[in-house]
Amino acid sequence: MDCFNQLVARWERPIYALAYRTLGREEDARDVVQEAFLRAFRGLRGFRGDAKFSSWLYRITLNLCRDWIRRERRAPIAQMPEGVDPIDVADEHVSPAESVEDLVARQEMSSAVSRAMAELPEEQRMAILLKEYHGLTFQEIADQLNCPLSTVKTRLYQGLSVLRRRLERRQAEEASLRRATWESSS
Amino acid sequence: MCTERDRLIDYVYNECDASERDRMQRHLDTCDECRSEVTSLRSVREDLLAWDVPAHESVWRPFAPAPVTVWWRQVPAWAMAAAAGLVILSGAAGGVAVQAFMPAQQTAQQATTGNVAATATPVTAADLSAAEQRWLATLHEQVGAVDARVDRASIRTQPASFVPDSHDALVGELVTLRGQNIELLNVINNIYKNLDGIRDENDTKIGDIKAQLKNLQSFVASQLQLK
Repeated sequence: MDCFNQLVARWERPIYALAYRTLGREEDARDVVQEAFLRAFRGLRGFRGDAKFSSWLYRITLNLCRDWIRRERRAPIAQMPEGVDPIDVADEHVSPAESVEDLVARQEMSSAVSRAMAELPEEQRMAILLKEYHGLTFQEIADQLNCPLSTVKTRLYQGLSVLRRRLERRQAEEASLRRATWESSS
Repeated sequence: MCTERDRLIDYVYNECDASERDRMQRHLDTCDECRSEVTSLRSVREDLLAWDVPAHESVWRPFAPAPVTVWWRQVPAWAMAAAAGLVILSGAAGGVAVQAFMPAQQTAQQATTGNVAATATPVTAADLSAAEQRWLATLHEQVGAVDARVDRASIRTQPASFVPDSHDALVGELVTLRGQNIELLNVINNIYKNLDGIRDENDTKIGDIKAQLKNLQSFVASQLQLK
């Protein structure tokens, strides 16, 4: 079991990141990660040595996330908690290498990306998560999601295209807001 | 729409071979539409990097390692001691009974006529051999189970960096277990030897008594004839 604890220590961060980005809420991600490792431990006997341990763990986590989304019957939450100002958050995390303005911009972009991702269909969102944040190959994603290779590429392409339109729209809205603010102040 | 668009995703994620990549590069030099598409896809991929995961504490509470129990360790020590004592006592009791009920003055010269098999022997050599085989089979199963555990727990499920410690520990456990098995077999063998010795001794004495009874019977018959 000591070995299993070491495996958990090694994979906890990426598994948590996957669960968090899929579900959008820290408490839910914690519950799913805890359950994923418990299931992995119970299922060790059934684990085939010819597969990668990480792939197996990703599959367990993704299945749990899917179950969670279906059980809750709602889209992932992907918003800055109410009453939390990105500038306050940035103040707490500012480092000498990054200005407060840059950090605020990054926080806002992070929030915008999470919102845009949350609005994507589940299949597209999972394909993008596995590709962009976990570096899986097209084939590995196809194995994880039980779909053909061509479907993975289509989901990725369509998902990225939708994200691009939403993020561009957001940038256009921000630009017009800045212009309006500048005009009213001058 | 350009017919090469479907291949752009392979190019953007660099999941195409070198020749395909070169071909796509040449196409992009001439196709504004695809070049613009690639730029947009790369831009949105860059935006995705901004999505942070908040810092969090570990959500996993490590297991405490469970002790490995082999079958005979699950039997209480008092029960093991009682079982061993019972075996030894039964052997000793057999010897004592023989000593108590058989006349001590029987002579060895009559033994030559008493080569009669003991009819009351509770355990035969075949029984002992079969029992020993059963013991060995059980012990081999136990060792095999540990072998399988070593393989499953420390090789197939662990990355290479985790193998040495756990593997060494399990191999050490296996060696200890085998040592204990051998020790246990030696104890069993000694008990069997003691039983064999007692049985042989009993057989000899029973033969002596039967021979003496036969002589006595002949003697009584001859006396009756004389009268």
